Amino acid sequence: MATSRNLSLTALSVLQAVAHGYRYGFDIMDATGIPSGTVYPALNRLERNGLLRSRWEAADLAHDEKRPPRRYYRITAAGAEALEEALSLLRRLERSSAPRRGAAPRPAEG
Amino acid sequence: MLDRLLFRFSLALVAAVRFLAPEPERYDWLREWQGELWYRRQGEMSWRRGARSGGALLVRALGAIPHALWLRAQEWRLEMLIQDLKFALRSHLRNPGLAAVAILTLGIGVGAVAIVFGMVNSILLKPYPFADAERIYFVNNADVERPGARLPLSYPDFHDVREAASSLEAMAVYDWEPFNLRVDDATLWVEAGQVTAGFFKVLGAEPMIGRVFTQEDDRPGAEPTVVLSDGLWRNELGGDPSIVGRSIVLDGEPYTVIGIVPVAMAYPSGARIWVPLRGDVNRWSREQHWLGSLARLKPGVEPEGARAELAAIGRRLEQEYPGTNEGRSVILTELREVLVGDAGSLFLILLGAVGFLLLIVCANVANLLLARATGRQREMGVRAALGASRTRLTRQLLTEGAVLAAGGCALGVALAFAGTRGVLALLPGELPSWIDTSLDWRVLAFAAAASAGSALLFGLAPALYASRPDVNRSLKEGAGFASAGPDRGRLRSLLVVGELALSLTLLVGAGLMIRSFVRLSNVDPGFETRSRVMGTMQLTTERFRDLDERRRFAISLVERLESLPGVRSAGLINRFPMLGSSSSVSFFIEGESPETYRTNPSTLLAAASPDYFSTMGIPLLRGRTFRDSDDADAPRVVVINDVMARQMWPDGDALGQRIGWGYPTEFGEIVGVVGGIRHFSLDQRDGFQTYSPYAQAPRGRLSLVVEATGDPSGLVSAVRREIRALEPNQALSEVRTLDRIVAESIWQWRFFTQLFWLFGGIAVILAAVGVYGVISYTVSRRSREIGIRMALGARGGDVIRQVVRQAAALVLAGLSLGILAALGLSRLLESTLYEISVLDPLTFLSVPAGLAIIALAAAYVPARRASRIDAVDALRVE
Repeated sequence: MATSRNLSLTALSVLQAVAHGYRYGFDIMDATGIPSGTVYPALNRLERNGLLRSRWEAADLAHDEKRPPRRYYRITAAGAEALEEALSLLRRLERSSAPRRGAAPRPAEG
Repeated sequence: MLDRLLFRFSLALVAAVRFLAPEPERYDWLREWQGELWYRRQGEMSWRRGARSGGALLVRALGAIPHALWLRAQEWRLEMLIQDLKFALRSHLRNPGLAAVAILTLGIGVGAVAIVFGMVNSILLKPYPFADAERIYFVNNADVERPGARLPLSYPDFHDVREAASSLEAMAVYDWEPFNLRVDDATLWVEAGQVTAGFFKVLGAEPMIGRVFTQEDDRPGAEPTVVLSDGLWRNELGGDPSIVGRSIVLDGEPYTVIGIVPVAMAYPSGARIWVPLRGDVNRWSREQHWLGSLARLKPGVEPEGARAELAAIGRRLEQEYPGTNEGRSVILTELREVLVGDAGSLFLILLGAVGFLLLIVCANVANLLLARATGRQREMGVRAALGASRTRLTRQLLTEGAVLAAGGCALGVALAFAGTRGVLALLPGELPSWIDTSLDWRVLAFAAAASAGSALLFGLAPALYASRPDVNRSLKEGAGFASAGPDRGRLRSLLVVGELALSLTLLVGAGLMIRSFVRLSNVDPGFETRSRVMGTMQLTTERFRDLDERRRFAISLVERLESLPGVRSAGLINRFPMLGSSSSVSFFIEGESPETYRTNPSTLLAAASPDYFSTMGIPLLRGRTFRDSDDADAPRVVVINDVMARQMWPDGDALGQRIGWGYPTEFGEIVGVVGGIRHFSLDQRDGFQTYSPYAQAPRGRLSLVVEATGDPSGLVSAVRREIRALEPNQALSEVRTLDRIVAESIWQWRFFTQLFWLFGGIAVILAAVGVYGVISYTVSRRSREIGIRMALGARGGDVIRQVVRQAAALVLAGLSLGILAALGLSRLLESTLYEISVLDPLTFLSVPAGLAIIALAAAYVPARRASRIDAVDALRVE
């Protein structure tokens, strides 16, 4: 089971983009700037871990417009929780690695 | 317009690569990608009129490929892999004989490839064990009149280059003359290097104990100091570290030990001790080019920059010293180019040959698996009927192949470990210490890659065939009766044709090599080898600085040796043939202007004792050889070989002519003409050879040769005893028979011929097994038809003839292909052949004929079996 700790930065960016309302694969690429060959595996993996859910839009709608149906992604409750947890972890990290007064900057530990 | 094209192309691309996506997800994958592309295109059009380019869309569409591959990788989950593996193991265990044969064949193939690759790796790929070896270069003179030759440097030139070159971190020159090392009562022959101070810095050698040479040690007249190799120090000198600071006796004189360096430094010429060269720039001549030279570039200096700088220095020296340096530039050469030379290409050819062997192995294993696939037609059909997808079946078969390949790889690596030692034992003497023959990760990786590649080759064809089962047919038909489609038989035949062609190519190579080797072995070296042994001495400088001492020593040594029981005669010479030792001079005839000096060919020069020629069995053709009276006070005389006599004096009046060389030139009268000998090795024709009496040219290097009345090996200790009695500080090198020396002079031919034959022999066996397998398979498949024919009155002979005729068609096809390939490839061997055409008719006739006989014999066995088929049994199979 995925926890916020083993989300990659890519997965985190994708998850956040979906949370912000980007629902389609190509829109998520625009939002995150991550290349297409990386975004889709990330989406598939997040879905397998239950952090995202995908649906196909109604076939008749697409059929009426003479185009293939699109697949759209939504964040799940577990996904929202994992995202929040990961973001707060990042914030903590950022605080702990901020240079203290008089001390030289150094890389965060842990 | 372009945008629309690119958009259409993106859609087509996604559709074209859809096979990459795994089956269960393929539909969704395709729909999603096409949907996004389509929508994006239309959406852009509606609100931003083609602002987003089709190019960007195409780039994005390319991401569909990694996505599909990622999905496929997800398919191969660990559990499934383990399941596949278990299944594969079980299926092999059900038929252990076949698996064992496949693994054994593969092991031999992979082992052979790994052994040869290991040698290529050691010689051509592994970095030399010197620190930052890529910065070390040889420094030589190039001469406009001898393009391609690398001349040694003169000491003053070295001095000037070293002083002027800013791109070099260090530069050194060296010579290599052995020393006589006194250890207790014994005196050892020790290879040694005479080097300038920077030598160890160039090679990046750090002393393990003590220090290495400084400029101070290298000054003319400095106290004699010596650096020892780790190996000599441990093995011969007891390994006591307090030896540093004490002295050892070299050539009868004390040298202070200052340091010990690692054994891998055995350069030049396998040196185990080093002493300072102590060159004198003011007294050593700029004309004498005899010093090897190495340089280390400064870090960050490009070789091209250093080359340009040295060339400029060379031009300057040409202007400053036109008399000696005109037409001579200073060049850099990479270490490997000099140290490996031509041998590199031979090893690559050998690697190609074992590559063929591995291909034959693959064809053979593929054949085995195809034969088995026939038996499993029904199994596959059942599994397909139960819902196994084609991918699943293919994967299953590939896994089975991978299991075989893994087994073959393990066996091959084990063989490589065991075999490398055996192959190295075929080489004479010891390899230079900087060649590391141990098998490293590269060899392991290569073996693994070869196995994996083989698994793909031999696993793919059966997998593709067997995974496309015709469910209906295979369930309906019983096993054993014409169940395989005709194309599978054809594939097997094609594999055998390929095997035969590859074997023939290999064998033609082997045949050419052996023809050339036999021809070479039969070359007359110009001297007798039977019952003769030789050994070499480097006369100690301490006692033999006085030339009269040398003369006296030479005379009494010959007397003592000849009086030994079992000795027929004994002789001495300073440059013994086939040991890599030679000196050559340009000579001129007395009365000619010195101008001809440059245009006259050069001659090898050696100083021999009177009995040398008769001891060696070198025939005297005209005049006389040397006498005891040709001593230091007598008029100078020389003996030349017949090639020189014929070419310089075609009218036959060589005797009585006077030739000379060197400065100041001393002329000697030609008193005899002897037969020429092959001085360098059996494959190099003799040029001009000139001999002086040792008494008139007493050199410091002295080889003795003894002809025994019987077996010469018993004489060795007696010879050593006589030398010790004359001079206890004088060592004698290893004593070797002349037979061995001549054989070792052509070791390269022997070595490559042996390996070619080994690989060719394995190839023939495999090809024969292949033919046997295919013919047996056809016979069993057609047993019913044959049975019917026998029932209708055909005789055994008819059946045999029919089966063998089928085999003959395969053999003919294979051999024809093979001859074409051999005709194309044999020229690669051109440089390794001795006086044999790469299209040698005898080889090109006998090898195919021999292979045809073997292949047909292999087919005859199943053919005979077919002729004994019982008609009733065959028909009852149904």
